[in-house]
Amino acid sequence: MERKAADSIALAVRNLSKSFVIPHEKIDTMRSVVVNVFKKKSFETFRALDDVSFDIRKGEFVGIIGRNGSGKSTLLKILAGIYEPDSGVVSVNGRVSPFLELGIGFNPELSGRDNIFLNGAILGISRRGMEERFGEIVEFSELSRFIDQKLKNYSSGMQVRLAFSVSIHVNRDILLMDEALSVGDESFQKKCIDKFEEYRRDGKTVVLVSHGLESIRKYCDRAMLLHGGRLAAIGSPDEVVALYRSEYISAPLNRTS
Amino acid sequence: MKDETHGGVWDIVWVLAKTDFKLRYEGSILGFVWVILKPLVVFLVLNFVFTNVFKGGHEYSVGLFTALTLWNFFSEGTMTGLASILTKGHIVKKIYIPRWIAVVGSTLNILFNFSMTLIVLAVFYVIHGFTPGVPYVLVGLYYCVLIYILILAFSFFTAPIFPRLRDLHQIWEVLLVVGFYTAPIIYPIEIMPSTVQTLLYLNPMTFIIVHAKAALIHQQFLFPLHNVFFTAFVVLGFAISVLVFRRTSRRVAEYL
Repeated sequence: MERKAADSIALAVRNLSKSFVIPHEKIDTMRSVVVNVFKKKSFETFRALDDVSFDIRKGEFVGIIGRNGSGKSTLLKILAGIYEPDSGVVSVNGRVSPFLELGIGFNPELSGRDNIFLNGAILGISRRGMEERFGEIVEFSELSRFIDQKLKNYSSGMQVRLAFSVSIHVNRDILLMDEALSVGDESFQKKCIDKFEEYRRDGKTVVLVSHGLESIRKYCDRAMLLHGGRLAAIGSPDEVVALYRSEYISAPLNRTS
Repeated sequence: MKDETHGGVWDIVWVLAKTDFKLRYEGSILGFVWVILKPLVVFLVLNFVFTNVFKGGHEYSVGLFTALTLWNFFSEGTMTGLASILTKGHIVKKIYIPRWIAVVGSTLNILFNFSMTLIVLAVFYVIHGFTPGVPYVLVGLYYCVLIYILILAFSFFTAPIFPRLRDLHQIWEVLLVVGFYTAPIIYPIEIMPSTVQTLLYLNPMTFIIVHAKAALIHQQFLFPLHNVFFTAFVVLGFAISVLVFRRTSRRVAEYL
């Protein structure tokens, strides 16, 4: 029966901790190594995540809120496999598509076309898959006239449209998004929201980091509040957002050790 | 469950290599011709000067060009491999891709350029009337493979450390100059006293250049047993580099 229970969980996180060592003086050349040998070692440990545990069910929309430096992005990067945790376990059930940033790998010197293939491959779509989807991607971005121009000649809005069009064609079960809703103009945001609704209908799992408390309340099934690297609250978005507003927005973050 | 549109790692390797290739000579008029032109100019100068110093005529020229081509492959490959994770940092710190993809993707471009210069080298052989038989060409290609494995091993050792220790670039530049003069590129190894020769063999490119020249120019396969040892040394180095890379590359995203 335990197996059955695990099947309904998309992401299980247990006792996750992560620290960064921050030297007070950056040591990355031989000279500073030599100079620093005789100095007292000066660094501090920054606990970005401290014993965080939670489960996210399949098909759930979960929003993560918290102040700057509360560990939101670090958590997302660990879920995406970019950072190694110091301790704790992350079990993932399904394939993860991290949209920590739109247009990963985009190069301004390449054409829109080349960038689509580059970005698509990095996001994990095969070459054949890209060839099949290319037409759709270009159509969605409404950039077919400019597709053979270099990306550096695109406006920033056009670049975002191109990147977004590629990323929504990556068909994965679990999506990790960092501030995805805060970029682009109104019509672009509308497209994002439509896509969100579609993901919801398809039963995909979405983990969203955002400062947009209203969108968290509107779209998420649950919200998670991080404070100083600890999980301060998890529950209904209305309650967690209210708690965040009343208690945490002006609380101190102290957690260096 | 597996969707066939989900690409494998090699799709990424391929697209990264293609991108590097497109970008390298972006906006230059001669473009890809530079791949061939640069080593050719170096060869012409060295050849002009040193044919007056060393005997051998055509044979010297062909040997010089062979050694230079192999050396350039090694030197450009290691330089690119060393910086590979740093130059692909904008990807490595934004999404999870196996880190070795950055190393292999970057060095493939060098391998491709090298293949192009091999064609020029082949033409050069024919012009000077040197036509080694197929077995000896295969031996030559075997050494090219060994060089590529050396490049990968070096890159796996250094690329994950490089973002934290930028001096490696300067150190390696100096060592490459040392390597260039301690390998029998300009001079034939036979002119050296035997004790010096032994020392020169500490440079792995010395072994490769001596044996590649022997096979391609003199149609000789020197010291089969030494080749077994040398191959074992390269493969062992590669295996260790992979193990080390697994450890050192895990946290590399944090240092980019």
